[in-house]
Amino acid sequence: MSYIKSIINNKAKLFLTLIAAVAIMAMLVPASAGNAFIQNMIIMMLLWAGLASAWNIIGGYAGQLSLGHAGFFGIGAYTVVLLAVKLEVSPWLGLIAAVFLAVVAAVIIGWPCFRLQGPFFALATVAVGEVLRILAINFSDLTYGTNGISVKMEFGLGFMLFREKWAYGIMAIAFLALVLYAVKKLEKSRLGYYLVAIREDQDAARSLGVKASRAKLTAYMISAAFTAIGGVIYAQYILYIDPDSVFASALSMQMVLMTIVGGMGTLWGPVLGAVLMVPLDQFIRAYFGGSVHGLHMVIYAVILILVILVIPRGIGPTLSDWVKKYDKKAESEGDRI
Amino acid sequence: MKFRRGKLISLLLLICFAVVSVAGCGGAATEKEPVTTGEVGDTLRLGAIYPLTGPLAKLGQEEQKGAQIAADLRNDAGGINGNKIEWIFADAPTPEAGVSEAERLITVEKVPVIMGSYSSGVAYAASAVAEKNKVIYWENSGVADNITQRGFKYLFRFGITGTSLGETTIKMLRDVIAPELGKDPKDYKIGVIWEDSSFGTSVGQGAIGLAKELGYNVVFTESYSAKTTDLSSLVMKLKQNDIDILIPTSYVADGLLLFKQMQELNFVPEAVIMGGNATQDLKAAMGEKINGLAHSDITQPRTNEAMAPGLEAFMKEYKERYGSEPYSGHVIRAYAGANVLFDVLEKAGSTDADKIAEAARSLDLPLGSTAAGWGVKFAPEGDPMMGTNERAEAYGCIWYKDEIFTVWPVEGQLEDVEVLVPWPAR
Amino acid sequence: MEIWMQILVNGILTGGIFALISIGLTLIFGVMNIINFAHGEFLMISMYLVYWMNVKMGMDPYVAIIFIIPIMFVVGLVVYKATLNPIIERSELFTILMTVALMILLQNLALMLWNADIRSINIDYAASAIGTENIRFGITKIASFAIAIGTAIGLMIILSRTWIGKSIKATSQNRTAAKLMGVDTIRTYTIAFALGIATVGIAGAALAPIFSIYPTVGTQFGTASFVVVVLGGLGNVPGAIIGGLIIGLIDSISGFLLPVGFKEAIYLGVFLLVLLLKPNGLFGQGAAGGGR
Repeated sequence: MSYIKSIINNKAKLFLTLIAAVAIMAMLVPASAGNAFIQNMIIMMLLWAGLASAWNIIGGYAGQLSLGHAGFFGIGAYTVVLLAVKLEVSPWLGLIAAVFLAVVAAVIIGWPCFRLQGPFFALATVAVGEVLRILAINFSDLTYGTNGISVKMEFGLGFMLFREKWAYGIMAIAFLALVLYAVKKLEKSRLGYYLVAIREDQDAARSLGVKASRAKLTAYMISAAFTAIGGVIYAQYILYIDPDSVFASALSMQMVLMTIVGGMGTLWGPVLGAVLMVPLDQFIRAYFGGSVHGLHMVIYAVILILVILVIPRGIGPTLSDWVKKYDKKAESEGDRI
Repeated sequence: MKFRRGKLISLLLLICFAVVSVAGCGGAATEKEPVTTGEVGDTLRLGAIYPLTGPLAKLGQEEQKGAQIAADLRNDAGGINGNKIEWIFADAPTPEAGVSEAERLITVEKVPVIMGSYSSGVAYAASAVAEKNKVIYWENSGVADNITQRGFKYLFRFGITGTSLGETTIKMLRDVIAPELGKDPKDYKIGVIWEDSSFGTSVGQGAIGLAKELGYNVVFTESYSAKTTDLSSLVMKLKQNDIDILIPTSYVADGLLLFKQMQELNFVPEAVIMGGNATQDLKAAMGEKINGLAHSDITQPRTNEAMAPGLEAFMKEYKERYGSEPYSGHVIRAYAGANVLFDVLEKAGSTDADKIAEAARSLDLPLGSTAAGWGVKFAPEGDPMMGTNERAEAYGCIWYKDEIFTVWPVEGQLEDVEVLVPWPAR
Repeated sequence: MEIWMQILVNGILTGGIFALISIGLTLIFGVMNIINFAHGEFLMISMYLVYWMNVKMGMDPYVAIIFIIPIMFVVGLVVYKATLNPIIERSELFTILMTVALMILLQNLALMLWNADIRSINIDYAASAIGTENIRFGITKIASFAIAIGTAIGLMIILSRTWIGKSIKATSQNRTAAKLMGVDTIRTYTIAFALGIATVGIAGAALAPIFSIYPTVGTQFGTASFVVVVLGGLGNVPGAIIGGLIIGLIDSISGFLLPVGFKEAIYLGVFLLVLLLKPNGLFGQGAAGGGR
């Protein structure tokens, strides 16, 4: 009930809840259930919303520009698929292993790297992501190298593999809900306040007794864990992984881009970013991809540049400000009447 | 009052969003009518997925040309059972894009067949979508062996495998190069190197496999990243191992870098037999120095018509349209593959996947029946390579007088072509 | 023994290439604290320009440098004014993001304009070398090494002797102070960025005879140049030369001792170690270092 009340009070929330409702309906209503292109787009939207939200924890709230999150994504995807293919471990157990490994990797990477600041941290994460990709290619006895691995086509809940699209839709919704729940909790937690304090001024936060490194590392671990879950869902959905697709630096970039377009350091920003960017990407590819080579990526880049120039805080906060302003105006007009 | 207005605004925004996305869908997402081949005069819409942007764009675009020419020529000749063919092309630079474009082609454009896809990664991902939706996936070009090792019922691969590309390098050494040099192939120290994508890896492994089977002396094998900016350390290793016959598999840019650094560092083997990569870019960069370089590759334009019926007509059309030599054999493979697909559709007389699959499996054409010089016989259900064309084999070719000629198998040879070894000339 | 001499020579010559590409990056990075992810794409644009000058006018790539410098300077000027200047006061996140968008834009514009052909400049001396039979020096590599040294010296003269160079230095050391002293920081940034792009333009001309030219060629060099810049210290021009040589040697030696596929991972590993142990680079921040 309180959620409903808060929805009524918060327009941005209402807006996004309605979008989510429409998305869920589009997944389930028979009329569009046959349109797998739209369904696929919604699944990708939800998956990317979850991934961007996971990145938002370390990038948006803590202000640490990680450009190597594809590493965790890849660790998640490879762990679950390799366990299933080599040891016939159920993906559900593989999921736990994936999260565990990603957290361990986050500690190994984060513990030394969080001493670095600003662009140095960003560059270090780029390098780590690249190294993971190269290792995945060259340790081919373990990873099958660039041949990649196909997920075994055994369908059923136990195999986390479904013929029907809506099952993946539910998985992606659950994933997104989980990440958003965690972010929501984080926002109101001590850790959340620490992170924002570190983002605004690390030295000042330190002098007030915030253990900056520990707070950042914790956030990094949480972020990595969720990113790995995203990787698992990707692998189970696309059914084929190789180093160049799941360890790609483009993936890391995309998480960052969506978060920034939507609004960094806000709960709903990354979701909005994904909701806008994924369809944009797919529609312009569908329109121009086959005719003028490269045009659709040019359009994509130009839109990005315009967003950065015109609404740098991201669409989400700008929009909600606009709504608030209108509200106030309406209110004062109401008073006059 | 305040609440209502707020809601109103949100609702308005939502409507805006809905309108934009519906408008966005427009042509892209409104469902098209399914097609039938039942009535004469209908248009038969077929899907084709290639990487048209990104690093693999060049050859993806070439294959697109081959598919288009095949459709146009077939339409001029009456189409398929009187139906005009129309390709719906889609761009898939990554496996993820392959999935979303395959979904779109299947559910929005309602195509009964998807042809593809140059990139093996895209082939893996997109063919899984097709299989789930019971749509035929007609792979002309992905070379990774295990594309067809997944037991897919609706997946057919017309083209060669990487293993075949690798094996032909060794067969060329045995049948063409070594006799020309007047030596026993077993006396050579062979070095096999490959770029580490699935393409290079499968070709390299194919070459090593056959060489060992024949008892040849493979002394050095190593992979490298095609994105590398320096191959001098690899050349130093080749030099140190005293390699006589070099079998490299590369893309164009890294191949050129390799040759440049070989020359700089004074490493001159007896012969170089490349896996794939017989392309115009290679010639443009190397000029006349290219003569004598051998490749195992897809069938080349200069192949005996007796071995590749229909090749001449295609070449004429290509040169008329684009005013140049084809970039490589890729366009021929796409053209020949599309034609076999049209034949299959004609035979099936339906867009039902099971009927098309049945028609495809019933094909039994000997070597030398398609424009690519290959036959057609798909491995039957239950076979570990189910759906792979067993009558496709990489051809051996060599540069002579600045042009590339088929020299292996010998029946494909066009005229007396001189095999200029050792290459490069000392 | 000779083989090891050759490996050292290879490392040093490859290092020269890395150094040349990194000089422009270190200037921009050091002055503005911008990680320019589109750096490799500016290199690609320059390589294409040199290619067309060679094909259409028969111009030698090394002669083309004279024209490339002003052209790329203007390109840098325009790009900076249009995209980066409006957001330079904001968080570095936005500048990074903007350069990523530029990277996507330039790569795909090149694809649209010049398609995906892999082009090469075909000149006689491209693959020739001098030296003894077993210790070889590639001519184009010697040239790019010399150009790297020349560019570095030229840039250092500009930074220390000219008025604009001094204001670049002042701004990078302490922006607020420079502003108070009457330095027009916006103009300084604009010129520093344009200078950096002109420098990578020179690199493009020197690399055009060595490497093939295609829309995504820049990405190959991007990561390596970041490594070099950090090793050498931000804004440290001589540091970039030494950083380049170190990476070149690591590349050459590790490529010989280990499987070649690992060599990129090795230098990235060395990079991470240096970053963690000496975060300011091996030689500290240089003449134009310090950031904001």
